[in-house]
Amino acid sequence: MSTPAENEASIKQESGPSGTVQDKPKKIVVRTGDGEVFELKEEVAMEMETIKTFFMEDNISYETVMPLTNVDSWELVKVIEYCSKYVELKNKENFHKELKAFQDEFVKSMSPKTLLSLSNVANYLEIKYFLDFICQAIADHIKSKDVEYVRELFGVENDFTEEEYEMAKTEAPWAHENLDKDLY
Amino acid sequence: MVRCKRLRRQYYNGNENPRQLMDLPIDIVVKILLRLPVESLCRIRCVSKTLLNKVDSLSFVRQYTLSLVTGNNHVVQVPQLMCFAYTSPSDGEEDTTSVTLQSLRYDGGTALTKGEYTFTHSTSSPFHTSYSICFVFYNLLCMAWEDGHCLLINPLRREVLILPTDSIEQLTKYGPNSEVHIGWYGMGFDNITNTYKIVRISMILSKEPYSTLGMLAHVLVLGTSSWREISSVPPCLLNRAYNICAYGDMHWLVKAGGAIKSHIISFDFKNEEFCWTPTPPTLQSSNRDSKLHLLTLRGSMAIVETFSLPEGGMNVEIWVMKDYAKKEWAREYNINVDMRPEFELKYATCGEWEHGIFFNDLDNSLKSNGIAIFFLDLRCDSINLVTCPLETEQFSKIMSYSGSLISLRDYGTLGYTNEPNDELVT
Repeated sequence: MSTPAENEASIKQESGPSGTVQDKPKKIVVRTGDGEVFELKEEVAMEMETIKTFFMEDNISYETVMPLTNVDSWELVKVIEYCSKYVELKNKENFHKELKAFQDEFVKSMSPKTLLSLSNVANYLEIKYFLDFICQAIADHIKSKDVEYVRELFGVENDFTEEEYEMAKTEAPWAHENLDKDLY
Repeated sequence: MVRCKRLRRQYYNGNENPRQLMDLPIDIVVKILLRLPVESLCRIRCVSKTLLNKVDSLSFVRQYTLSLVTGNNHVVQVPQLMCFAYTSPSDGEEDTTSVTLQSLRYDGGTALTKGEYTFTHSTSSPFHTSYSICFVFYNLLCMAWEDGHCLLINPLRREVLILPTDSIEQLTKYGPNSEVHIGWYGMGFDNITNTYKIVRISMILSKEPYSTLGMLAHVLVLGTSSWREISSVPPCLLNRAYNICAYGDMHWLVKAGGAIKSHIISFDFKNEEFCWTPTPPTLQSSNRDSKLHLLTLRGSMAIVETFSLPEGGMNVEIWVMKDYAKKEWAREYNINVDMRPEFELKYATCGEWEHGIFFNDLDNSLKSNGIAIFFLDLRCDSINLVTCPLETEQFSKIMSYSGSLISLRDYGTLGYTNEPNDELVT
């Protein structure tokens, strides 16, 4: 088992006569909660603090397969998609513009429940910018919806009595008018 | 920080993973709530008791106000319109004033209609036209009288908070020949102590001959009961017509005379001191005879410059502050409109509506039937002259305000009523 430090040393030994270091793409292997194994590019994997800490803190070798028991494979696919794109665009000139275009496309076909799942994964994997983005997407989705819709979406029980509910409503009666009528 | 709640393994079907809100760590729920506009949060608090307690909690309100004030919550609040009018006292009741706050809706064209609610308030102090509304802090309005009587109103929740008074008029700091007049108020948020503060500026006048001897400033922390004198005073007299609350601080556009252009005086509520905020450099050096207005535009400080074109029509330029820390401005709009308001907006106040700005031409309104407002739509550069639907012959003014979660109930006992259209007497 070689440590990251040894990995780098071995790369240096492989450098050719011209003295340049050969680019050996490093991979990190993870296993999701539902048993699937994924190979991630190092630069993408390092965007996730949880993975980064796992390998860096105790100098764990990249040969170890990291278990991500709280992440399902479909979720990881999405996370990899987003982080790969982010890393690709990061140093470009039109970063914000291109990222925005990608973000719009990314959430377009996602159901709100999917977004909720992804927010949890983003939190677990500690990817700050992805979590911010998903939370914004959720907020954008619910901001014009009415009380019933939010209850349904978040699976929250109405624990108000009739009176309590009316009381809460009268605090801001104007907020309950002119809302989106679509339910899902 | 990962708060890793042990998740229940749930069977899923591709995208149908039934994650529920209440399974999420509270940190994530708060992250989402902080990104919602106030109207949405008013609905969220009706979803369940847990969410009600969360949204109403002082800590959440402070977090939310902080992100509003620093512009970090990525929420652009849609400004709402409010009309403030007073009705003259009927005979025999000359010592009372009845003021009305009426919400308004503008459709973007020529229709300005009354909104859903009206709030009327009567007070036993005689009305003084030069006071009216002193400032608008998000959704709070301040009204003050010459005698030191001062109210903070949250019209949407029908809350009225009477601010503590002190015997400032009795101050004879400069001797028996002097008297103190309260001039201006401002409100802001100190994000170090997490408190809302109100600043009050008074002038010390000598009676004979009548002149200004000096100025005094006091600060009140909302929720406490006394005003505290501070050493910093404004470098010159302030102008009430143009003041805005932005970035947690208070700002006044001071009209200048002659060759000196207008300046902005700001009050920093953290350090409790007055300072200058520079206006855009090109504005300073331009020598055309234009009129300046100060307002907030989508959360940022903005200056509107209007200039009557010799060939007819009006040129409107809008400068927006892009970086408050660095005090950097950018010119965002330069529009020529083909309508020349009769009075060149000499006495107009300026405000913001959903898709642009409006001018409340006070001079014009005194002459015609009702208040005349010019709405400028920044999406298409069109300008419309609209009449306010309020039937009143008296002085009226349109203001813009935006949402916040601040409830005055947390800061003292109120004159409070939940009944619509109740007359509240203080």
